[in-house]
Formats: sequence, C-alpha cells, structure tokens
Amino acid sequence: MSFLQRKRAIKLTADVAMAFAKDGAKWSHALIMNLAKKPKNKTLLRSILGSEYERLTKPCLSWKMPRAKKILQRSFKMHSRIKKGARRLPGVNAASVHAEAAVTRTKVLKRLVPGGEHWDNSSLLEETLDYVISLRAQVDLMHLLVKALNVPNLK
Amino acid sequence: MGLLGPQQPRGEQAIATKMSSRRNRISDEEINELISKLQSLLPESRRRNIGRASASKLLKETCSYIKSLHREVDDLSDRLSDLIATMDSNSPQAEIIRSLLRS
Repeated sequence: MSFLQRKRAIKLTADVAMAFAKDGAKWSHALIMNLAKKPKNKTLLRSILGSEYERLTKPCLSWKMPRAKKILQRSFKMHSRIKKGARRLPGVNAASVHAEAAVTRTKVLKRLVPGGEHWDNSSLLEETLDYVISLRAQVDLMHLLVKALNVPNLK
Repeated sequence: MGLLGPQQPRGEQAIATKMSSRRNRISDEEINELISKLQSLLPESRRRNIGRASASKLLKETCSYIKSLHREVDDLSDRLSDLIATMDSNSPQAEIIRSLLRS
C-alpha cells in the first residue's frame, strides 16, 4: 500500500467512525453518502459498515428542500437584489453590507458542513454545532492515537 | 406600534410565532441559544469574553474554525499513516491497532 492510499484509508475510517457515532444527524448521513459516491471508497466502506452499508447510503429525501421552495427562494433573492440595487445608488449603507456579508458567509458554511446546501438556515445552525463538536472529538481521538503509537519509540 | 393599542401587538406576536413555528421548527429563543453555544465553541471567544458578536463575524469564525479542524485531521492522518507504516507487526502498537479494528 502506498503512503497516500494508507492515508486516504485512515482518513476515511476516521470520518466514518465520526459520522457513525452521530448516526441520525443530517450531516452524518450526508458525509457517508458523499464518501459512497466515489467508487474507490466503496470496498472500504462496505467492510467498515458491514450490514449497515445499505441503510446509510440510501438517499434521504425528507430533509432536502423541495424544488418548488428552492425556486421560490431563488426568485425572492433575485427580486430583493434588484430592489437593493436601486436603493443603493445614493450611497452604501452599513446594514445592507452586513446583511450581504452574512449571506455570503452562510453560503461558505453550507459548503463546509456535509449536506449543508440542502437545509434551511436554522437546521444549518443546529447541524453546524453538532458537526463542530464531533470534529473536535475526532481531532482529540486522533491525537491520542498518535501518542499511543509513539510512546514505545521513545525507548 | 403603540398607536394600535395594547391588544394589537400581542395578537401580531401570536401570529408571528405561529407562522415561524410552522415554517422553521425552532423558536427565536432556541436560535439565540444555538448562536451562543456556537460562539462558546470557537477558540477566540474563550480567550477574551466578547459580547454577542455580529452574525457575519460568527459565521466567519465558524467557517475558519471548521477549515482549521479539517486541516488538523488531514495532518493527523499523515502522521498516523507514517506511524502505522513503520510499525513492527509484533509490537504492542500493532496490537493496539488490531484491538481497535476488532471492536
């Protein structure tokens, strides 16, 4: 096994373990599904998840925003952008700049949290909180593992 | 709003709450709680006690924190990959790995 193959396997295992520990969370399902999309991951995923593989890689349509609502949201955004443009001619105001910054940053967050692009803002906030806590646990665990594997080398 | 009399604001608020609970299942109170919890997780707010930060600042901090955690996981994966590769299969470290894989 090459270094990169090994590293990829380790990272995938760590991510699956993290997601599985929070089975039921939206981000957890999305993370496993994203991993399952790549054919090179399938063998490893099947061996890790075993009998749970089918359930966890089945697409969950219940939390995806229905297409009609998405189209409606998009047209509202465009409409308010046109209105804002007309109002902003006399001068930029601080409130609209803040609001736009929040919107841009929300988009960035949606890309960082697995599955984020499909949820509404309040779900995004909830899932982000859960995801950050899990990421920290993952990092702590991996640090411990590095320590455990390193100790005998000090002799 | 005071011109409408004491009855009106309460009625409006009741409707607003009903509407928001129909659309978002989370109340304003819960959102505030989530925001303050998120803020307490971020490393910077632990060092200095900032009052309620603006929404966009919070989002920005959260995004950079998540990115740095992702980088850390990547770096740790590198190190683990090294350690596992150079491990002797008879060593106690190998036994640690094997016991983890068994559970």
